[in-house]
Amino acid sequence: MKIWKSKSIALILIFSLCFLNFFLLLNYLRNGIGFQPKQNISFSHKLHSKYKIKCLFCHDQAETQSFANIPTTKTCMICHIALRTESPLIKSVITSYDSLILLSYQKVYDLPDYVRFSHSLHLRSGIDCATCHGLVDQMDSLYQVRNITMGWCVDCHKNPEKYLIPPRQISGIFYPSDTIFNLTNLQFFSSSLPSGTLQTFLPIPKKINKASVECSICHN
Amino acid sequence: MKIYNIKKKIIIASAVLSSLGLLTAIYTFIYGLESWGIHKKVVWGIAIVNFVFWIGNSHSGTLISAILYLLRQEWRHPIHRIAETITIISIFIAAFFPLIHLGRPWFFYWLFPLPNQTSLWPNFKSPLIWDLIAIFTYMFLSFLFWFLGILPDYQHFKFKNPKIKHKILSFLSKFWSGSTVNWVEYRWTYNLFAGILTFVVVSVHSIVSFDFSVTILPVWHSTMLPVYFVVGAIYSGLALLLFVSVIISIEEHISEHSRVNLSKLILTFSYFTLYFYLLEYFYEFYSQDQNIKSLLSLRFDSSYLWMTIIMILQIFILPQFLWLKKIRENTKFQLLISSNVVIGMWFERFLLIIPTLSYDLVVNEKISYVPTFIDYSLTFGSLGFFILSFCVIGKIIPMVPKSET
Amino acid sequence: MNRRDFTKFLTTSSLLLGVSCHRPEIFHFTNVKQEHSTSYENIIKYCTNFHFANFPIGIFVETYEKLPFRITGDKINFFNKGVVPKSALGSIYNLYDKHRLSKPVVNGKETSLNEALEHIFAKIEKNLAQDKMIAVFMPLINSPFLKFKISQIENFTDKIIFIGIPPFDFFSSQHQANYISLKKNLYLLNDITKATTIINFGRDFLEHDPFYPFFVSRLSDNRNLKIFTFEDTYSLTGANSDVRIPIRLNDYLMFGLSFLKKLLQTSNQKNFYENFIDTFNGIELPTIPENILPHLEYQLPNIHFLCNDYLPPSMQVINLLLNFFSKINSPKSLKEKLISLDLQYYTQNKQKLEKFLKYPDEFNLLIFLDYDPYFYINSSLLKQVGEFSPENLITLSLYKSKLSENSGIFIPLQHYLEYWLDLENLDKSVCSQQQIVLPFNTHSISLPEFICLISNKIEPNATTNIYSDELIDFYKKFYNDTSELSENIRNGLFLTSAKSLEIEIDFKALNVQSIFNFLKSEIISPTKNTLSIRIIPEQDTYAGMYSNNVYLKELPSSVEGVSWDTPIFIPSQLAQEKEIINYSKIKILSGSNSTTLPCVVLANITIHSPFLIYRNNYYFEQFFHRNNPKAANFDFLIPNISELTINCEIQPTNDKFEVAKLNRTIALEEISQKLAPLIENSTQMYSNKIQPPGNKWTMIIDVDKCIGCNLCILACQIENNIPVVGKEQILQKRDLYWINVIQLKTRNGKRKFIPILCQHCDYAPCESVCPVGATSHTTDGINEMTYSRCIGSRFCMANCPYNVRRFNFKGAEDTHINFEPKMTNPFVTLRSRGITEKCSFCIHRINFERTKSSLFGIKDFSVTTACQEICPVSAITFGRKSNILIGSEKIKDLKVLLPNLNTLPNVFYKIEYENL
Repeated sequence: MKIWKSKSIALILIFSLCFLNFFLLLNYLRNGIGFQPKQNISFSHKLHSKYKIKCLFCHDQAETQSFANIPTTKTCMICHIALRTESPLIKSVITSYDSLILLSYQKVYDLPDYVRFSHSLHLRSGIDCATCHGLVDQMDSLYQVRNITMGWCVDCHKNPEKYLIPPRQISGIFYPSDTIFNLTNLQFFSSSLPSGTLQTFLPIPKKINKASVECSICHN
Repeated sequence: MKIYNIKKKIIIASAVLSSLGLLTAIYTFIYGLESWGIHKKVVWGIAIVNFVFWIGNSHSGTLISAILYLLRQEWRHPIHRIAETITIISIFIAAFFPLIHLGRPWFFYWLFPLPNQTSLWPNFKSPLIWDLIAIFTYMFLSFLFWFLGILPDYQHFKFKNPKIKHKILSFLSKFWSGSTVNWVEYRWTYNLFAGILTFVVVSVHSIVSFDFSVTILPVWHSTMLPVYFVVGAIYSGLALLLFVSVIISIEEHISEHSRVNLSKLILTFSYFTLYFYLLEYFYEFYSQDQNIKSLLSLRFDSSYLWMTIIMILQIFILPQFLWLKKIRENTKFQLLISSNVVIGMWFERFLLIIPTLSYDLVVNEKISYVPTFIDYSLTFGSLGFFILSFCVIGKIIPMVPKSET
Repeated sequence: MNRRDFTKFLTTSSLLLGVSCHRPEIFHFTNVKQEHSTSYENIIKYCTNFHFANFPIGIFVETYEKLPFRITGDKINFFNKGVVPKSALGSIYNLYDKHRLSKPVVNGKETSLNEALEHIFAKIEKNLAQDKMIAVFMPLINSPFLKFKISQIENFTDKIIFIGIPPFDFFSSQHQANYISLKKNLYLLNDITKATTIINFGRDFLEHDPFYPFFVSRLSDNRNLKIFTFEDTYSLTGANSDVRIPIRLNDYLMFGLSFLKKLLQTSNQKNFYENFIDTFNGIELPTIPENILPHLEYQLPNIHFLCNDYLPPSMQVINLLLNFFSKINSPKSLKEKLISLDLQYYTQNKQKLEKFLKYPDEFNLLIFLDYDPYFYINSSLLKQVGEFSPENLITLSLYKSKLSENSGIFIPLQHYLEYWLDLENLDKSVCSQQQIVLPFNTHSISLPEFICLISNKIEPNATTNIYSDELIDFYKKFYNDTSELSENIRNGLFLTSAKSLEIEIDFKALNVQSIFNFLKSEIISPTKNTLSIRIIPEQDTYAGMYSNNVYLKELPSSVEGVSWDTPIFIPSQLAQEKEIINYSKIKILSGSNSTTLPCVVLANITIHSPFLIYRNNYYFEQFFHRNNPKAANFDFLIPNISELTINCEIQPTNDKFEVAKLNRTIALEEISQKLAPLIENSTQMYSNKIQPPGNKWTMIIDVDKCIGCNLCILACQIENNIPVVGKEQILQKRDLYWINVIQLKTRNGKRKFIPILCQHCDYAPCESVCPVGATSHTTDGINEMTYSRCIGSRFCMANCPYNVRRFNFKGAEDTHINFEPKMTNPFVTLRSRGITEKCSFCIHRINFERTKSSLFGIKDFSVTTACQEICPVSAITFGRKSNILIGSEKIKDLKVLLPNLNTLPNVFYKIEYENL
C-alpha cells in the first residue's frame, strides 16, 4: 500500500523512536569517563609511583575510614622538606605549608550525598584501588576511567569477578608495615572494641564473595 | 441561533474552568502537595476519585462501538462516534490525575520499564504498574479505533483555514480512498478492533480496581471489586453518553430510538450496580468482620450521610422513572436523569475510596478529610477540559457519522 | 596566660587534673573538605559525664555542625540507666542558641568584656566610697567554694550583700519548705530503695524532677512497686500510679494529718498520739481509702511518703514526720532527720532578702547575677527594682531580657556547661560540674569567676588568680596528697562523702508538740465560693526558659498530647455548670486584670479545680519571632509565682481555638483483638521464611513498663533528622513522627501507653505495592526505605494498616529553616519534599556496627536504637531475634499488632491483660 511510502509516516516513526530513546540518550550524556578537571598544582601520580610510594602512604585514611583523604601538605613535606626544594612546583607547596593557606583540589570521582561509600570496607575485602580508579600509577594527572553509575556498582556487587583487580604492591593494601598506620584514625573505633584488636589485621580473603545489593547498604 | 449563543457561553465557561484547573495543576507541581487536603492517613484525595471516575466514563464508548457492533445493534450507529470521542478525552483526563498526584512528578518516567543507568526496573508486582500498562494500552487502542471510525467521513471535516484543510485531508486520503476493496478491509479491521477492545474494556477497569482490591484494607480487599468497577464504569459512561447525545441531538439528528435504548441500558445497569452495592453489605453481614462493619457504617456517619443519601437517590432511585415510557422518551427527563447519574457515580467513587483511607485500623477511629480549593478546582477543571475539548472536536469532526458503516 | 588560654588548656589536656578521664582527646582532621563524607569520624568532640542538677545524665556528641545530634543516657552513672530529663535536653539547646552571641552593653553601646567589667568595678568602688549598700541577686547555689568566697567578701565589707534565691525547681510558696525537702531528699534516696509502696502527695516525679532518673530506674527495676497518688492536678505520675485519688489543694494537709494519726496508732508512740489527739480534737479528718490501709498495717517500714516541693511547709513537715514515724525503730534515721531540719544557710539568705525588701533606700546598686525577677515572677521584688534608675542596675544573664533592657550594664553570662563549678551533693559529697564545651561567646563571663573577680578587686591583699586555680587550691586543703584529689576529680568529685563537711546538729529542733501546734495553725478552712486556678510550671521547656528547643515544643505533652500550646485544663463538671465548650477560648478575670486563654476540657479524668501550665511568654516569644505560635499571655495575672493559685472568675467565650493534640486512645475491650498473640500457622511461617529467622532484627516493647514519657519520640526525631513541622501542619494532621504513642485507660483508672512504630513485617503490605520498589526487605528482616528512589505515589501509606508511614509535605530544609537551632545528624539523609518516610530501625547505626565488625573481624555485633537508648525505664529491647527471644519470652507469650492481618510483624509487645 502506498501509505507506507509516505514521508509523514516515516516522520512519525522516527519521532516515536526518538521519544523512546530519549532517556537512554540522557544516560549516555551523563557518562563521566575521561573527566579531567584542572588541578591547582600539577601533581603527577606516575612520577611518584616510580619511586614505589604506595597509594596508602598519602591517602592513609582510605584504609581505616570511609573517606579517602586528599593528603595534606604536611604529608608532602615528609619528603619534600629535603627533596627538590628548588623546583617551582614544590615551592608553591612549601609556601602553602608555611603560610597555612590550603591547596584546594578538584574532586575527580564525586558521588552524590545520598550515597554511602566506605573506602575502608572495600580495601579490607581485597579490592584494589585500580578496580575503580584505574591504573593511576600510569597517569600523569588524574582522570575518570569508569562511569560511576549505580548500575555499574550493582553489577560489580552481583558478580565481582568481572571487574576485580587483585591487590597490587603499589597500592599498599595489606602491607601495614609499609603504610604509616595512623592510630589516631582508629581512635573512634577503639572506644568500643576488645583490647588488642587494633594490632591484629585481617588476612587477605582467598576469594571475593558476592556483596549484598540491598538498598540500605549504600542509601539510608 | 439561540442555541449557538448558549454553546458559545458554554465554551467560554469551560475554557475558564479548564484554564483554572491547569493553573492549579502547575501550582501543585511547583509548590508540592501541601496545598491539597490530604494528610498522614487519607493519602489519596479527590485526585484518585477523579481518576477512577473518568476512567469509568471512558468505558461507554468501547461498549457501544465494540460490543454492540459485534452484536450488530444498528441503533448504536448514530451515537458511536460521540461515545468514542468521550472515551478518548476522558482517558486522557484520567491519565493526568495519577501523574499530578505524585509527590515528585518529575520522576514519573521511573514508572516506565526503560533501560537506565541505575539498572533498576519498576516493581511489576505493583498494581500501579499494571494500571499504567492497561491505561496506555486502552488509550492507544481506543485512539486507533476512533481514528478508524472517523476515516470514512474525512471529507466532511470542517476547517476554517483552507490550507490546513487541504494538508489534513490529503494526509487522510492516503489512508482512505473509499473503494470497495477499501471498504472490505475496513470492515475486517473494524471487526478485529471491536473484538480486541471488547476484552480490553473489561480488563482495564478491573485492573484499575486492583489498585484497591489488592490491598489488605477492609471493604477494598474483596474479589467482587473488579466486576463492581466495570459495571459502575459502564453505568456512568452510558449516562454521560446519553447526556452528551441529547445535547448533540439539539443541533443534529439523532434518532429517538437509540436514545431510548440508551436509557433502557442505563436502567439495566442501575440494577447491576445496585446488586453489587448491596453485595458489599451482604459481605459485611456474612463475614461479621468488625472492621468492615464499622467502615461501612462510616458511610452513614454524620459527615458522609448527605453524600450517601444523594448518591442513592441519584443512581438507584431516580433511574427507576425510566420505566415510564413518557419519561424515557422525553429529552428533558433524559438530560435530568443522566446528569444526576453521572454526579451520583462520582459520589459513589468518593464513598468507596475515602472512608476506607480515613479509617484507622489500630484505634478504630475516623480521621476526617476536607478537600481544599485546589482539589475542587482540579476536579472542575477536568470537567471544563472535557467540555471544551469535546466542543472543539465537535466543531471539526461531524459527531453523527455521515456514511453508514 | 589569660583566662581563655587557661580554659582551653584545661579542656584539651587530660594530664592536668580537673578534667574528666572519660573524655578522649579532641580529634583533629587531616582533611577540611569532609563535610559530605558520611562517616563517624566527623565527630569533633565526644563528651560524656555531663551533669545536670548534680546528676550525671548523659553522653552528648558534637558534630562538625557544632550541634549535638545525639543525646543519650549515661550508661555509667550510678542509677545504671540511660536517663535524660527533657529539661536537660532543653538546657543543651540553650547552650547552642544564637541569641547568646551578644556583646556586653554599657549604656546602650556595645563594648568589649574588659571595658564592661571595668565599668562595673568602678561603680562598685564608687558606691563603697560613698558607703552605699550593694545587693547581688543570684540563684541559691549550694557550692562550698562560692560560699567560701562570698563569706570572704562579706567578712571584708558589709556593704556588699549576696542574696541567694533558690532556683526555679525548688521554688515554692515557702522557701523553708523547699529547703527542708531539698535536704530530706537525701533520706528519700536511702529509703526508697527499700520501699515497696509509695504514697505520693502530688509530686510529679516522672516529669522534670531532681530525682527523676532515680525514680524511673526504680520503676524499671521492680514492677510490683505500688504507687498511691493524691493529686489536685493530672500528671504523668498520676496516670502511672496504681491508685490515683483526686483531691483539692487544701485537702493535702488534712489527708496528711489523717495518715499521721493512723501511723501514730500503729507505731505505738503513746505520748505522741496523745499529743496529736488533744491538739487536733474537734477537727474531723478525711478517711484513708481502704486499699491503702493494709499497706499501712503490714509493710510499714517498706512504705515511703513523697511530697510535692511546691506545697506549703506544713505539708513538707508532715511528710517528714510520716517518713520518720514509719521507720521509728531505727534511731539512726532520727538523727539524720534532725540534720535535715538545719536551715542555717537558707535562713541567712532569706533574712537578706527580707532586709532588702524592707529598707530598699539603703541600697544604691543592684547586680542581677543570673537571676531575673521577670522570669521567676516576683512582684514584690519587681516593685522595688522599678524604683531604681537604669544606671544603678547591672545584669549578667544568658540572654538579653526585659531586665537587661532596663539596666545600664549588661554582660552575657556563660552557660553552666561552659565553666567549672563545685556543687554540694545531698550526701555532703561535693560533685564537680565540669566544663564540657569551650565558651562560644568570647565576650561572656562565668558566674563564679565574676564573684572571684569582685573578691580580688575588693581585697587589697588578694592573690589575683584564675578562678579555676583558686577552685583547685580551695580543695587542696581537704586532701593530704594531690594524687587522690586528681583521682577524685577524674571521677567527677571533689570530695568523697568520707571527708564530708560536718554540720553540727541541734537536738532541740525536734519538738513534736510545737510542730503539732504549727500544723494546727496552718489548717485553712476550705474556701468554696471563689474559684482558683492551679499554676504549674511547664515541665518540658522549664517554664519557658528552654523555649528555644523547638523539638520540646512540638513534642506532645505526656498525658494530654497537646503540642505547641499551653491551654488551661478544665474539669468536666466545671465546664458543664459554666457551659464551656471544649477547645474554646475562655475569659479569666482576676481583680482588674483579665485575659482569654484556650481551654481543654478533661472529660474522663477527675480533677477538682482547673490547672494552668505556666510558661514565661517573654522568653517564648523571643525565640519564636520567625513564625510565632503566639501563646496567650497570662504573666500579669500571676502576682507571685510562689503563690500556687490564682483566685479568679471564668467566663466562656464563643470564639474557638484549635489545640493541636496528638494523642490517640484505644478502647479497653478492643485491645485484646488489636494486640494479640500470633495465630498458629503464622508462627510456623516464621520458620518457613527464606532467611534464617533467628538472624532478623527484632524489637520487643514492654507495655507494662512504659510510662508514656514520649522521650522515644523525641530521641527518634533528633536521631533521624525528622523536621519540626510546626503547629499548622499538626492541625492538618501532617505530623512527621515515626513513633506514635497511643493510650489505653485500664479499669482502675491507670493508663497504659503503647508506642507504635514501623512493624517491619515479614509480609509487608507496603513493599509489594510500591511501583518503583523504593521500599524492600533486607535479608536480616528490615523493611528498608530508599528515599532517593521514592517518587511519592503514596500507595505504601494507603496499604499500611498501622499508619506509621509519613509523607514529607515540605521537605527537611524548608521546614528546618523556620526554626532555630537547626541541627542534623550527618549519618541520616535529609529527606526532600514529596517522599514517604518511616522508622528504619536506626539502620545507619546498624550499618556502622556492621562496618566496624567487618573491619576488625568481629563475628557478632549488637545495636541499640535511639529510642532504646533514651528509654528511661528500658521498656524497649532491640536485637537479633535469636538473641532477645530467649527463655520464657517465646513468640507465643508476646503480642503483635493486628495479628489477624497476618503481616508477621517483627515488633513484639509485652502486655498482660490481667494488669488492665
